[in-house]
Amino acid sequence: MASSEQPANPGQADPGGSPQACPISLNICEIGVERTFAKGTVIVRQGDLPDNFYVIIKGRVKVFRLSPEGIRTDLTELGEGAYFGELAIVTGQPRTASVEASEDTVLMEISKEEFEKLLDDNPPLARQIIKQLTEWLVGADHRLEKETVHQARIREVSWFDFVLIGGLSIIFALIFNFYNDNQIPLIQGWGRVGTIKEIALTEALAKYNAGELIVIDARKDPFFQQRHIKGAENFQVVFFDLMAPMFQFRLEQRQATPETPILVYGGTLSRRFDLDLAHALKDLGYENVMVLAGDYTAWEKAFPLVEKPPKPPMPMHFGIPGLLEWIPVSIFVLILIPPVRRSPYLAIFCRILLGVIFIQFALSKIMRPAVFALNVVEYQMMPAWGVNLWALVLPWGELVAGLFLILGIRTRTAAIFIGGMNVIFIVGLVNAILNQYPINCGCVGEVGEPVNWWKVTKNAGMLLMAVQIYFYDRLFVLDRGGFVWRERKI
Amino acid sequence: MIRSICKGISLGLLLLGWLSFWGCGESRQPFVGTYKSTEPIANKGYIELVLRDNGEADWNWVDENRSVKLKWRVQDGRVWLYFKEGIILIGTPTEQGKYLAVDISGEWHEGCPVDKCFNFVREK
Repeated sequence: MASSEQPANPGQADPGGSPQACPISLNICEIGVERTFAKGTVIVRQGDLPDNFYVIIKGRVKVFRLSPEGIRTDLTELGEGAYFGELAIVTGQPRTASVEASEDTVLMEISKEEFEKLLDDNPPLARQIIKQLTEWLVGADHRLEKETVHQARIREVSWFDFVLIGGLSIIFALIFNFYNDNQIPLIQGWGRVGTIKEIALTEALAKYNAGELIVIDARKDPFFQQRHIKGAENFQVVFFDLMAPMFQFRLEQRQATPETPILVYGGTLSRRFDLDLAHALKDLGYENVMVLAGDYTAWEKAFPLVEKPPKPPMPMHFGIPGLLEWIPVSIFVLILIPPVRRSPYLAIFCRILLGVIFIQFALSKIMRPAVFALNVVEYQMMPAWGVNLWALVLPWGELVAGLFLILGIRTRTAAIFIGGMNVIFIVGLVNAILNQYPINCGCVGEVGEPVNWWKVTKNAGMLLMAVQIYFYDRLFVLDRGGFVWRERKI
Repeated sequence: MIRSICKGISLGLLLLGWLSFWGCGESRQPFVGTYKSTEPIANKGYIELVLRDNGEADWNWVDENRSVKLKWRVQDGRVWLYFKEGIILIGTPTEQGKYLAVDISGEWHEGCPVDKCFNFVREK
């Protein structure tokens, strides 16, 4: 930075605050005019041509620079006896910083011509200027180095950051689940006593054709309506506790005895539905309950089916959270404008918006993990051991990453976390759409949220926002000051 | 550094306030009470639904001596019942909560679908 307005304080000020505050030995106050500036007045404006040199007689001034984007950087504050404006006169360059009175201030103003004459006649003053210039250059080098280190630290992404966000999410999830009234087991069905008999597909088909088998579909009603084995009953396992007497009544209607062979089918990758229902029926006294061996989807190809077009859930209105989800789509327009695309202010906007959306996502799931776990099962991409763990930890990951984005802590890592979640959501949504699963998105609300391409677009918009934050976020980063652990080697 | 910490704490408090605001639901008070199904279900007797002020509830098959615990809350004037398996049933109250039509599809609908509706009447 050129330094025509760089501060100077030769250390010869009179602390009394009178006109004697001038550096007397340099003989500069004998030729100036005293002027008073009210608090807030801009005395010297960045970019103006230099015309005067100033010595502070009384009061204080603030020296600052404005970047082309309008970002203000306060350089220093000067008090009585300090002077400024001499270097711009010496170099003939426009002012490179502005000076503003931070309180009512009295200055000695010396014109450019008078100052130049004074400089010619006053070698101690010339030496003083050279000394100041040298000190500023050295100081500027130090500041540049410090800022470079800061920028490097802000842009650094370390493994520790991932461990921090991931670890916090896991710890919060486990502690909260421990004390939560609606707690769920970490692994569904873990430690369950007893096994369920498995039956080969061909054998099951032979019994079915001979009319010796009661077939029960354990999935939720929309799946059953979409496709089921002809003649099958639908006992939704998630309704079992609630409707057990009704299910029992329907089995009684089919003259089922404890020895009657019952085939339960309709599992997912997590085998949650068929195995859970089989165990529940066994507990009810039906001893001859079976599930299909091997591929849990094989029944679709082997048995005669009743099929209907898929019926997605009815959409409900989500109010503000639903509206917030629309905004990420605007990012597709904004990134077409290069200066906007690279703007750190856009990064702040993206941080706040993504933070709010993800906190909202989290809050809709944290209190009732069982509802979200059921959603996870329905996406049919998670093995049994992972369903509940995912349902517990993911919302806390959303909450922690969302808070980090808003507070400006580890924003690049938080953006990677949120971007990663968006990728997972997009894969899940596309898989559900292509397979025509009649399921709820589980994104904003608990029910009434069909999976569709619009949801994919919104998630893609959020992914793009995370990428923008990763590359261009640099303002209002809270951990720049160092109160969060950041002792890392660059 | 102290300024940064203060800024962080202020932002944190603001967020907490915001979270609390979102966490607050509608009052349960108008719908607290004991409801009984208007007719026996599947030849297994009546269902009794007890909604308590603290958000806890019971779903009882009276004749079968079978009881299921659940949670409940009110949203947009409707009663949301949460079961531990993750299923949600939505009840639509009518006549100032005298009747409650519970949608047993487990999905969200504007009202209560005729073929998937249990009707309850308030007893206490």
